[in-house]
Amino acid sequence: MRKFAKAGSYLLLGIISLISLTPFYFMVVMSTYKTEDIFKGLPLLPSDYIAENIKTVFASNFIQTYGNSLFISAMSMLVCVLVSAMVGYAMTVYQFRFKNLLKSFIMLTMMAPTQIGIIGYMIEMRTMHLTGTLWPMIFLWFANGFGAFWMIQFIGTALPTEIVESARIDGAGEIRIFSQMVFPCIKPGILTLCLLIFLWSWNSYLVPLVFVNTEKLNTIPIFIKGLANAYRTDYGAQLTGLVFATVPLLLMFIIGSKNFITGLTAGAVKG
Amino acid sequence: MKRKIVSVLLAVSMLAGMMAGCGNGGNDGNAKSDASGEEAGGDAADAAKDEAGGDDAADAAGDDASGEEAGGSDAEASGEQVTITYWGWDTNWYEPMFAKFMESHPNIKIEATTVAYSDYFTKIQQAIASGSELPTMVQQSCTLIENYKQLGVFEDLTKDPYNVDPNAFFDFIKGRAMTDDGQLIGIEQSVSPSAIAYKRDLAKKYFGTDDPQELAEIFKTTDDYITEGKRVNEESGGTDYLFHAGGAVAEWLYFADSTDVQTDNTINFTEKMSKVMGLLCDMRDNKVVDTFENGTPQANATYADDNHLFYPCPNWAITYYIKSNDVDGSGNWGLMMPATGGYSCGGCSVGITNTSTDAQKAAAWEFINWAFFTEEGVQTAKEEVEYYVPTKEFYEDPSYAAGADEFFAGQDIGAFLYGEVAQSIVLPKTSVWDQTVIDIRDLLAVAVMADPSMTAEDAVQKGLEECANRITDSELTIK
Amino acid sequence: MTRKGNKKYRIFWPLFFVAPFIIFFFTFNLFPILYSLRLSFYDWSGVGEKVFVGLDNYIRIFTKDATFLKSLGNTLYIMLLGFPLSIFLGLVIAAFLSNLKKFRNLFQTLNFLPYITTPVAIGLIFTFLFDWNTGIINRVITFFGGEGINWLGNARFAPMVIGFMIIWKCTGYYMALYLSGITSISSDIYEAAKVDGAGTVRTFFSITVPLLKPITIFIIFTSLIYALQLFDEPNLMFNVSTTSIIGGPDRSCLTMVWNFYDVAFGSTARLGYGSAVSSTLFIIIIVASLIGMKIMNKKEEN
Repeated sequence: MRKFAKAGSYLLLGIISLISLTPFYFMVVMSTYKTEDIFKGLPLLPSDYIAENIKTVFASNFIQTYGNSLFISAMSMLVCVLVSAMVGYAMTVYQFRFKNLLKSFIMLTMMAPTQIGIIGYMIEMRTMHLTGTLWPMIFLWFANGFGAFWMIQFIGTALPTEIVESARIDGAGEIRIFSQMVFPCIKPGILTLCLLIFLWSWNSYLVPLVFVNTEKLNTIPIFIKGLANAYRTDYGAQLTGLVFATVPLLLMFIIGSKNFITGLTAGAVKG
Repeated sequence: MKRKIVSVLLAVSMLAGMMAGCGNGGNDGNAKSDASGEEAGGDAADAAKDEAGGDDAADAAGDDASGEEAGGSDAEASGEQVTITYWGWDTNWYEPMFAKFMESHPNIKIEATTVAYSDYFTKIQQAIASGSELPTMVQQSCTLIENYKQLGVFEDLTKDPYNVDPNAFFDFIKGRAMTDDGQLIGIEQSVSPSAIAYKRDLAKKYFGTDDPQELAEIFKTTDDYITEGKRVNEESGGTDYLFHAGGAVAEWLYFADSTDVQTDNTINFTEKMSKVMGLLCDMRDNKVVDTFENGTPQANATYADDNHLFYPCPNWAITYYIKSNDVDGSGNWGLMMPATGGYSCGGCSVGITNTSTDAQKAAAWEFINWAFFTEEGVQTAKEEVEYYVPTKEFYEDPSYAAGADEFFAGQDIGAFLYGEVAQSIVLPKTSVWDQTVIDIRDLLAVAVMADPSMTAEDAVQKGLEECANRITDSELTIK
Repeated sequence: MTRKGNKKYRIFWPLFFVAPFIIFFFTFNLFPILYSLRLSFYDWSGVGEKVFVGLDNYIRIFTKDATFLKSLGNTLYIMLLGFPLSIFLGLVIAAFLSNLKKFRNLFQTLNFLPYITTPVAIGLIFTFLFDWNTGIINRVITFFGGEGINWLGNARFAPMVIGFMIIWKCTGYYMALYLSGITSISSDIYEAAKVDGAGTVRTFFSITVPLLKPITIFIIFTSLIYALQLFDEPNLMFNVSTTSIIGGPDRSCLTMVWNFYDVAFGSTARLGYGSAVSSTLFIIIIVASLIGMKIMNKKEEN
């Protein structure tokens, strides 16, 4: 009976995993097709057009697009994680006025979609003479409500405040405590948030849609959407581009998945 | 393990920083070399004499933009190297045109950015609102031409230094890109005469002929599409259709109708749309039109299949849709007069933005002048894209509007589209709400095809509700 | 601690660590929203003069603009179609998975993949899967003798496809969260339940589910945020062709943010009116989440 149930579980999980994977499978397989052939039959097996598609993708400025996306995501990630960790640290270690107010405030900031301020943001960026650069797509991530909230949760559970106090007695300055003693303690949390922010900014679509006006500023999602319009919808090339866009994330998550999930739950459990 | 990941992340981000750093440097360099270009072009002689100024610009471009700097010194040598920009979705037109133009004008570089049709006007408006650089040349869709006029960012081409005489163009089209106070904001790429393209093998199979004249005899009224289309579908056992997409049929019928969208303060929605939706519903009920959604890749793939016979076909669709989607179909296509008569569908004009530098404006004008007023440019458009310019003088030579096309089995597409179809075109008055009404038309076409129980009256009623939501000008009455 | 030290730890250092967040938040997040609020009292297309119109924009939203209310309804509807089932499935799969030793990590990673996929890819792939004539789903249906369904062209089915997309995308993510939650539940509790003679199902409902509540709250909270911002996937799914319809068939997939984007930047740029729409959304969301937080706090107290 138990064995039977176990086999059933595996079967169920197998089916569910299959559903999760099917779209991926088609993405990869169809990226080897010539666009015209994609619709001719059911594209179950790989075709031989991948080299041409790769050529199409790299003939447009894919390298720069890639660099742009990497830069945006890396900058957003670094600053956001640092800023969030600082808030989390302050909320855990210090007692100060308006602390609870600040916490509620951060909860609220999580809820408000940043996109709806985009008109004002656009005009602000114009005033700062930053349109035509990548910065408008980065700044929005600096103060991320989710990041702050999540770091507060995580540091609150993972950091024993005694460490901080004994360090103070030893005469360590606050910045040193934060950077050398606390950071190592909260590494899983940092790592998880890094992955999430990287992922979200990498996949971000609406803000670049507004701010990307030349090919020099292209990010990957915008670039791939743009491939849809060169002459005809070149689906084959689009899919090839997508495969290239997904691979780094995939690797990051596969490498980091164990730590990532641990970190994620550690932050969430306290809720 | 953890440490490894962190260090990988750090390495990646540093690498990214370096890469993007280069990218940014390039951008800065570009902006600045534009500036120096302006100086050079604006006053070439001065710039050449006044080396200090040139050096300043080069210095400002910074060390990291050495490539651009080199470009800058090139500019000084040749006097006026100018880079201009263009946004467009019409790769079929601009790629060959720009390539040919830059061959004979090595001092001008045109950088084209592909922008999806559906995002185009949005992007222009965002660029204006966000203060980003507009392209030097803008492709103005005719369905939004009134909206472009309101933007106030285009050069008046009738003024110095362009001095275009609007009377150089066909009468029926010359006013479309002209504002009420006589400013010409762009020049029409072509007059977009439209007819119906058909697959010759299927026409022979079902109608016994692939001759455009004889086919036009069979399809004399719109009812003929219904009876013949029904027969085609029945004879094929339900696999073959006259048309592939409701949206395509609606587009054709809509543009073939000469009712003005707006007269004074009234939007004539019911009048404009009733016939279109009525015929579309009939076609749907009699299986004359298949259920593809117009413009999707799936729909585009039908150009190459053996199940769909007719495609409403503006001149631009020949390269943009037919030749690019049915790559192996050479010789199997024909072009016939629709029962509605010839019509004009889509098309766009090209204008110069007044935010560009003088040098860029001059260079853009150089291109426009070349494309629409010189033998070389006009012939390039004809041969490479099958676009025939709206400039009248070229038609004085009868061989201009003539061109047998092997893809169309040697049919004289030029003579047909420009000699016959274009001459009978009546363009409805344009309105700022054109695109809005067209969007609603597409919505209705999809709804009609999706729901077999929807009648033309239902569709129009739904359309009126949509109008009320989307047409925000409270001074307008919607009928 | 000295008074001076006290002050240092009560004012200077907290401020120091909180300041970057506050400063960035005000500059790049709050200020734009406030600016939009100001703009919402004007009629402005982005070029030319701003014209002060008072509350006209707001009056229009609630009296004439049926699309606005529709987009609210659509967002709610899609949210309900996708998230509850997705959260439930995530929980159930996690429960199954927690009993297994082999391949656990593999399953976890596999099911996590959809969450990291670019929305552009998801939109694209789903148009392939669900196309009426050539879509893979319909080919399977017709292969088994059924009749193909107009998934993307029918206002009834299109939101379901989006809902399915959400389920497909999020289930693995939720599962991963629940799974590590379950692992952290001490096995003693389960042993005790077994001793008391509780069956698997009962154990699941009376032990696992209540103990996972913090995670559930976290998930509901984050999925709410995700739902309110829904734009990328529907937009990318229905904005593929030159004649594509804003909001999908009959605007059934026009979400709040998409509607806002279209109003502000669509074929008729109305930045003033768009700002009014965004400000209204902002207020609705804030009020809704305040209420949500109140309810959550109350429940926790109980």
